Amino acid sequence: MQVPAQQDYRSRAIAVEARGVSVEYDLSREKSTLIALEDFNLEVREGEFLAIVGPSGCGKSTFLNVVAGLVEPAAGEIKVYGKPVTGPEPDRAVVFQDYALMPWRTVEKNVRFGLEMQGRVDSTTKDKVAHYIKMVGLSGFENSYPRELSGGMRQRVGLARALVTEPRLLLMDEPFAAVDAMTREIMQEELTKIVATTGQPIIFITHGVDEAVTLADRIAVVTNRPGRIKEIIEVDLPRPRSRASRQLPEFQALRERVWQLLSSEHPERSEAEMAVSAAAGHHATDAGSGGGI
Amino acid sequence: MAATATRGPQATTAAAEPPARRPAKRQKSWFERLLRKRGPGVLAFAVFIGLWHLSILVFDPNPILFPGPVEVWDEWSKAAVDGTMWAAVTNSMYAMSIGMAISLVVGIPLGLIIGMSPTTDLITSPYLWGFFAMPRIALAPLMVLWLGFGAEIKIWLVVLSAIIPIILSCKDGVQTTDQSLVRAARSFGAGRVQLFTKVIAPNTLPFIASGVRNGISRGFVGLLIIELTVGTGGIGTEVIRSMRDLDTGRMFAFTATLIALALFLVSLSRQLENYASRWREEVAL
Repeated sequence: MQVPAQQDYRSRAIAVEARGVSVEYDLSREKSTLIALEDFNLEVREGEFLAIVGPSGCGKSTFLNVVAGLVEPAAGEIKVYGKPVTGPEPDRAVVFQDYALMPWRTVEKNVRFGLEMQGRVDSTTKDKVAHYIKMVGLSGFENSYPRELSGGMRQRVGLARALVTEPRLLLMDEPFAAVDAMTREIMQEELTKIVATTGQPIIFITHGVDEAVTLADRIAVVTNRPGRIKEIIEVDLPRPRSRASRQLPEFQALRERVWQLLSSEHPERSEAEMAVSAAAGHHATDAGSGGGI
Repeated sequence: MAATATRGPQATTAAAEPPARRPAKRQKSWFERLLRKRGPGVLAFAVFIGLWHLSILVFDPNPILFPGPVEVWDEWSKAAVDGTMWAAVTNSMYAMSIGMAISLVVGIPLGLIIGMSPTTDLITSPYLWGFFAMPRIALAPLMVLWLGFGAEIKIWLVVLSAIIPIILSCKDGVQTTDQSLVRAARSFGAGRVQLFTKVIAPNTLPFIASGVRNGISRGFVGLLIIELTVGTGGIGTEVIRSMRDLDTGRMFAFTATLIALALFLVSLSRQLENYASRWREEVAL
């Protein structure tokens, strides 16, 4: 029943538009400039779930920080709902890989942290906070401190803290990378359910190929540093997707295709290894995507 | 494979972890808890006094060299009744509290500023560490020259002893603020003031508390140095005076008060530190 709603995002308005974004870092010790992103172009539409995968250190998190307004690009332009990004704004919220919860705040106070920073605390705040704590399944833990929670529960707090600000764009930076495999699957399913009710577009950084294929409408594969978009893959699998979906041949074909794109980009792969893997992976590529590269 | 495919969804749509808590079996009464916590210490102290008294009875030493607990208690109650004990305690604690107040009011903001500004840190840190390492007694002659023998010299030595650990701790607290927390606050649009009040200050609170704890103990040592060597009045001076009069029982009585005061200050600062860092993983002792 969700299938049509999930798939007509292509006709919707553009939420995020990145044109020729480059990011550089000065490495004073090595007297050189690191180019993290170069000529990065991407569009995200309203209601779309976009996953960005790439080798570690490719600059995918840097791109997220640019969209969040935390990092200023050296060149290029980025617009969120038509407005150029100049810094953090209440229309965007970030979920961080390391949770970044204030250890001296209880769950409830952590969730309202964003609203406090944005100066949006009013008489409705308490109800809103309770609503989102319930949504992420943490009712009963309002007065716990982060140290008393498991990794998965901490990230639920991080998600609630972002959602309670009711952002028009949700940015997630490898949110489930630090939790165990079991928790990750549960979190993925719950995230799917939650964003189906909240509805904002999501940019989701991950290095998990299965995670990207399970969650995303589109997957942007990023090249090794300097990061560029190598290819964007549409994920046309029916929703809701679950672990059962992973048994579908279409799922496995998509996963194989993303793997192929990624492994050719892996910085630790020597040329000899690449030759071997290209020969070995040839069969899988053919069977998988039917040749899209 | 078909079986796993059908079982899959149910297995993963587990509800969020429910609170795994239940009430403790039986609440202990406050008296029981107090007895468990303080009982062994009190008992050990009683045994110590008993052994002391027993050894006096057995060995019968010269009371000028080694007074017994009875004698010390007599001297203590005599000093308490004629008021010299309370005068000495007030005298010492007056200098201690004024000195600590100055150290806190000046030291905490100074430490925070140094922590926030790398340039200030570069300029000040050699002096701070130099001062931290130097024994305070080396300052005593100069202080006497400048301040004489009144209350000021004690206050200033408390300040000079206490303020350095306070500054260093506050600075450390600011500098060790987790950058991911700063980034998270910035992502929600926090400005400089909010970053300071909502992230850096709460993060620094346990550091401030541990600086204050160190400050109190070092300040107390500074106070005693002056009282013992310069003779400005106060408990330390009473200890030295009793020794010169060969009034060993009185000396023991004042020394006991001194130890009690030190214990009081230490437990006060511990409680302060525990309160300030109750959210931390490490249980502060």
